[in-house]
Amino acid sequence: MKKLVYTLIIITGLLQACVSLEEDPRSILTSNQFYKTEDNAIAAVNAIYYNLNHSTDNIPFAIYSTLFNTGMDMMTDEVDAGPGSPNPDVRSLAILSHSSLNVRVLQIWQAHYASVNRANVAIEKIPPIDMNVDLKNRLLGEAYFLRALLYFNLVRLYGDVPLLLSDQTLVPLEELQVPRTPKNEVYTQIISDLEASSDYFSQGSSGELGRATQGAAVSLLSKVYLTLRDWQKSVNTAEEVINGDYNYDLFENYAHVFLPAYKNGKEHIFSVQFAGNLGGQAHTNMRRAIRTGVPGLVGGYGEQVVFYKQGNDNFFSIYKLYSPSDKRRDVSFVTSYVSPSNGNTYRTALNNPGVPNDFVPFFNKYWDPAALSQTDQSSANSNVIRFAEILLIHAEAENELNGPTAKAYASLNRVRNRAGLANLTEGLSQDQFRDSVYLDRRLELVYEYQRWFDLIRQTGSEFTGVGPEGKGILLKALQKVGKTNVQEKHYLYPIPFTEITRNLKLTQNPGWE
Amino acid sequence: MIQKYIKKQWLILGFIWFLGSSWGIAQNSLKGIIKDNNNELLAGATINIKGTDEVTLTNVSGVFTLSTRQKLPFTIIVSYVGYQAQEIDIYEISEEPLDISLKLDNVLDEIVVIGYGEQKRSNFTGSIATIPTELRQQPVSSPDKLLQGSVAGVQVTQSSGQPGSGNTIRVRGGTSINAGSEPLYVIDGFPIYNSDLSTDAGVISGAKINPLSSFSSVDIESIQVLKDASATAIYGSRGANGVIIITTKKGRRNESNISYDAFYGVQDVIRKLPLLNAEQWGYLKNDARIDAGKPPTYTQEELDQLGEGTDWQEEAFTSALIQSHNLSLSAGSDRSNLILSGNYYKQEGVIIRTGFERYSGRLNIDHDISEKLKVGVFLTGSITNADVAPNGVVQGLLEMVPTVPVKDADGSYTIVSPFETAIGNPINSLVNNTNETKTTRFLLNGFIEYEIIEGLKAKVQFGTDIINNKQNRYVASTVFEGIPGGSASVGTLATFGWLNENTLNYFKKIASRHTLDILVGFTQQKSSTEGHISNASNFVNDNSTYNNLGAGTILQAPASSYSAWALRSFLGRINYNLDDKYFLTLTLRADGSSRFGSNNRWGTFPSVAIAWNVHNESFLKNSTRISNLKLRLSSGLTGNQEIPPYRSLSILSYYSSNFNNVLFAGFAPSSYANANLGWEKTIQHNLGVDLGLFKNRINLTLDVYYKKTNDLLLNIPLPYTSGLESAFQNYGSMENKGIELALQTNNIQGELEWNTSIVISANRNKVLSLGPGITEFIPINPANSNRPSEIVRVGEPLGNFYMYQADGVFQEGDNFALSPSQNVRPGSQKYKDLNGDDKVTQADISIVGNAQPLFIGGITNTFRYKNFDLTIFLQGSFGNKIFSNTKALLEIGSGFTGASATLLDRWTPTNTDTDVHRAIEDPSPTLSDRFVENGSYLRLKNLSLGYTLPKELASKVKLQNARIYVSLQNYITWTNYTGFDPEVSRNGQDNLYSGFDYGSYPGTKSIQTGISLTF
Repeated sequence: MKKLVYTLIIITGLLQACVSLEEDPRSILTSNQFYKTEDNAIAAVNAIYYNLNHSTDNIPFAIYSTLFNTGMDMMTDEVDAGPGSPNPDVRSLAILSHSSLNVRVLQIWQAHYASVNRANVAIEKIPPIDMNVDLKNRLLGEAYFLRALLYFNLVRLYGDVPLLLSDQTLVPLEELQVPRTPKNEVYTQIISDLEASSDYFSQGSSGELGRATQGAAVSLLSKVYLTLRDWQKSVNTAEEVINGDYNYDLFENYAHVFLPAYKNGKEHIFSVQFAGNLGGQAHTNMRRAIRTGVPGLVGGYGEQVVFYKQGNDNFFSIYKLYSPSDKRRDVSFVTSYVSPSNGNTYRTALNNPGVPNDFVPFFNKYWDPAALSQTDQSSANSNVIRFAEILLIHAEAENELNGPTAKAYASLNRVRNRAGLANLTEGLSQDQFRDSVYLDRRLELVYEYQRWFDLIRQTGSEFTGVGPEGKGILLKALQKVGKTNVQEKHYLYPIPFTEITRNLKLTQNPGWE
Repeated sequence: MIQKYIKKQWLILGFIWFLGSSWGIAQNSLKGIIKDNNNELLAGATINIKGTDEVTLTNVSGVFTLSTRQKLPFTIIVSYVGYQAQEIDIYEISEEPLDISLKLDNVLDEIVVIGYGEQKRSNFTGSIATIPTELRQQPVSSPDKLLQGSVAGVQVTQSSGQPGSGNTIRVRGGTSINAGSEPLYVIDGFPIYNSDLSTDAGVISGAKINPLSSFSSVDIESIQVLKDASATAIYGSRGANGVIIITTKKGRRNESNISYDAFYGVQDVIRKLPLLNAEQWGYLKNDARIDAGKPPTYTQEELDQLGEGTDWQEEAFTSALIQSHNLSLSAGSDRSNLILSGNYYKQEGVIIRTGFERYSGRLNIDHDISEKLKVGVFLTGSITNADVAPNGVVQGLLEMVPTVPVKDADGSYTIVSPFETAIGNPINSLVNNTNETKTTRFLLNGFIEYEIIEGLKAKVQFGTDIINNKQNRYVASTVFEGIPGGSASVGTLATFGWLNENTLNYFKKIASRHTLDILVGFTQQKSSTEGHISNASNFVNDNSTYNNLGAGTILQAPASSYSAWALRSFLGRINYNLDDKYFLTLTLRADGSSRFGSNNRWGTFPSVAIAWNVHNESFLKNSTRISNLKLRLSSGLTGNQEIPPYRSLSILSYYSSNFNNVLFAGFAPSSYANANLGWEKTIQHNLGVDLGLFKNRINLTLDVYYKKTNDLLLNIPLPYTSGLESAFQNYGSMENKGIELALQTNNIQGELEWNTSIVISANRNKVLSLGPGITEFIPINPANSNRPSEIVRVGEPLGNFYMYQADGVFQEGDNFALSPSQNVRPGSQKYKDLNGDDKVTQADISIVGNAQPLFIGGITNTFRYKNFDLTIFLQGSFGNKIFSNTKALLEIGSGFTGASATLLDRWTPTNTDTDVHRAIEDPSPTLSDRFVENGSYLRLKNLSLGYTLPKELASKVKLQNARIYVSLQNYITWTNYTGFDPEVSRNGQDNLYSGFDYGSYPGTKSIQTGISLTF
């Protein structure tokens, strides 16, 4: 009997040695195990791209598909919330009745800063790693480019924003409360990051197709200068891209710009990469754009063009701004779908007394012919900057700097000719030329998450409407299509209300208090 | 002395019966003397022959004589006020009088099971409640459901009507905001935290299955709820939310029997929601179209032909069978006893193709190797299978348009609603999809106890809890969501937990006045969980469903996971009893948990309690009224550790990316390290009174308590600029205070017996602080509804609904600017401008109700008359609100989806005197208090009528005992709530989004008949 008791005491003693309270997190990595090898450095940079194309647990949408589509595009004079968008936050954005509590306004902020922190981590952790120097330079080039892109979006959308340049998961809790940094300082950092990026790339090896490159850094710089109205530098950098040895060119066929088969081609300077059936990396705009009720083709009808009354046409829209010979119209839009199941054609008639046989146009730029059976698995990329835009930037900046010079005409005509349009009328005034560039920017870049940025950036002319105090064309443009809630305050998003409750050092944008 | 009466000895009964002796039916005279346990003679005691109206009383010397022609054998029932009634089987009539001694009927002599031991209720200093026997027999899928309305201070909310689904259990309110607030379960000494996640591999969609549904309630001997700190502090870091001690049945020494218990019943939905039929919907559709400037969908002739259309609820709801069979063998010798039981439980769902079934077995053995050395095992294993209604399917039944047929003209299922909102045919998904979860669970537990010297016992216990969950999901290619090739997922989650507890217990009586009971112990527990999920889609056909993932033409990234936690503890308790009058309990537990930061791993949890048995004082000893009076006072500290593992570490997460369609791996930090993360600590004070009147015919227990939780494990929101969202910090505090009343009365005694039990409790919860500078936050809605609907605010309780206040509809001439919406016109929904700034904005959103009840309670009436027994159990919850997102969506009136019948009274130019807004093509509801309803209810939870076969009749068919019964469960519900069932909590155990109804599986009522036989 005693033996048994002693045995038990011994077993108990042994077990006591077994149970450790140290955690052994086998399925996850912890910080102190990482940032030691070349592969770790690559993984740190790959992670920065994540929110651009990925939905996550806490931010269920990617920046360059759903967030920019429903959180930004739908505020424009081009895209509206469709019947398949029941989300009240999206619908309120679409009529500009949103508030600082709006979930998309928050998610866009959140997704950008989540990526910013990953860029900061990479920029901090990669330099000490003992690894191939060319590769290290390339990786730092990518990290600086991405941080610049993220801050460029943030500063344009929100104005002054906290400028954070170090890993925030390691700072004491109270230091997470940071004030907003003035816009000009943010822009200074963006320019410095892009220049650093370009430098690193110039001394770096080349990476896989689809990653950021030196050409992307210079191109984005050109766009930053355009936004800052530094026309000279914008022209210079645009010309560096056009005439440099980056080998960028326009596709002959406008449709190829958007088809997944041609992705990362000669026109694509930097695109956010989407891929179907690769674990949440598919483009969601394909399904959202498609009409419902087409057998075999699942559509969300989550968006549609903004219809407005023009003359006796009750359903005027951007679709009707294209001239019939403009090849871009029928690439950018479809008015009918052929059912993959029964071969019938489906379209939605508009009861439009002014225009007989009028049908609803649906956006079509993220259409993936290989994803008909799974419309939520489109592999179409989102263009962040492509060569056609560089030509348009060049034409616009050159016109602002020197008037409608031959250089300006040449760049704009390159874009027009590819669309099947004739050269622009010679001898236009600077204002007339500006109007033409603005119009071609719309027609060329519709539905590519550019319009909102243009609406708040472009200063007006008679054609598009003059903004207050030399500001952009936003108010007139939106009032024209019936989005009459638009106000001066809409030039900036509100700072997300929940963020202000979390960071008491933040202030609200004017008009959003 | 010749043995003249034998209590329930069926072997001898059988033997006698076997002899085939026939007994005369001549008049017999049965004599006896009745005494109490102090050998005092009892005058006026009742002697009744069971199953008859033959009754006699004892005379002043406690002697009775009963003349009867009753055929032997028969049973007499001896009863006397204040004493336990006794049944005695009579096999022969002897000249010698029966010597019967009755025990005081005293609940205080009841032995209650407490942490690491048991104690006489009268000596217990803490607050404890026991589920009454008559309520343990309800037909339920898991034992925790029995707590509802049966004990004071425990709130049980089922998450949905899905068979096998879980419950939210709050003992004296939840103590936490972000950490788990479920009580700790201790099943035969094995502590278990009942998290829904332990049986959820993460593949299927729908209500989570309750891990406790692996245990059959038929096997249970007793359920005790430990509520105050004195009772729970022995469980230290896991005691803050109460402890529920479940003890399973054991065999009895020197007794053997076989028993069979079964019931069979039919369930139905409690109610259907009134919706528009096809014709009514057609008018709505046209109105909404016309309102938007579009041509109507239907012509008048078409409208006239729409008729009733499809009643989608009718298509999916069905009468469903429920059955349970339990066979158990109990055997005992003078040194050992065992019970072996097998159970089958099957509950079909009231929605087609859903249901739950369980096969379970149990073997409990106790054996005395010697006087000093005892061993015992508790082994149980079960398999449960559940077909779960996926999320969205119930909402789909309600929102599917009534003009859409279930099947096309060619007999195949309609795929999708052709209208603006694409809703897949819910019947098609129910019939053709697979959404199942299967759990195998073994709880194996054994102990050895050795008495080293007299009064000093050493006990070593080992146990293991093995849970294997497998889930399968297949969405068929013919179902809307599965087009074109179907999609399949399988997942497993395997949890292995083990426990070792070592205790020393010393019991000593000193000089007859002092009793000392000392416990010390060391325990350790560890649990690890491994999971994996695989997905594939686009199959060539639907034949192999989820069984051949490799055949999918699109393979998705697999996932696997591992997590583990460990707990090491030292515990001690001293019970001191002076003269059975004064009691002192001191407990202390020190716990080390792996879940916390390296600087804060250990926590110490002390408690102290005193009790005074006033009735044992000389001044009350002879009171004829007060038979029991005890005062109890306790204070103590308990903890909570229920956060996921690894929350104190700086974790990197996987962030994949792709370049030119090729997948690349990425990693980056995803959490905020906190080496100081520690326990959530709850201080609780309890004052209790136990009062027994008139020889304990009336028993009252009253407890008041105050609980304050500090260092809340708060997932505090971080600025998003950090790249993170939140971090677990020990911030903030919350209080719960309340009062609990339990009253038991014995109203009528004798041939007709009537007992009543009432439990009522009220808890008030308040958030005291949320950390520096934070006064409120709006939690992220886990139901993925598009809007947050609740708010956590300092000074307010949890569960506040936060919305606009509806204010009728706009009429011609109103100020249309007073709305958060655009395009306002007559008939649009109107909201209150609370701050009077002539705008309705986010600033006008306010708290419009709370999900926590003002009070909850239950009333049980038990009647016995001859061989009949009747139990009527009413249970209710009062003053709580429910937010119905279902209602919000059904009342949109967009014509995009099916709609509530409320819209029949919608605003039209000819029907302006209404509070229902006009038809409008706006697919998104603005949340308002219109959708927050009173969730109070009173429910006939159980009514059961039983008949026990008279002994003589039973013995003829070789039965020791036989009872048949009919019972009604949830049969009548009195409520103003317009949803399926006021007992609903879509978000299950979540503390932040309680009282939320959205497409929840409807509640059910049932009627069943059962038998209970003992051979």
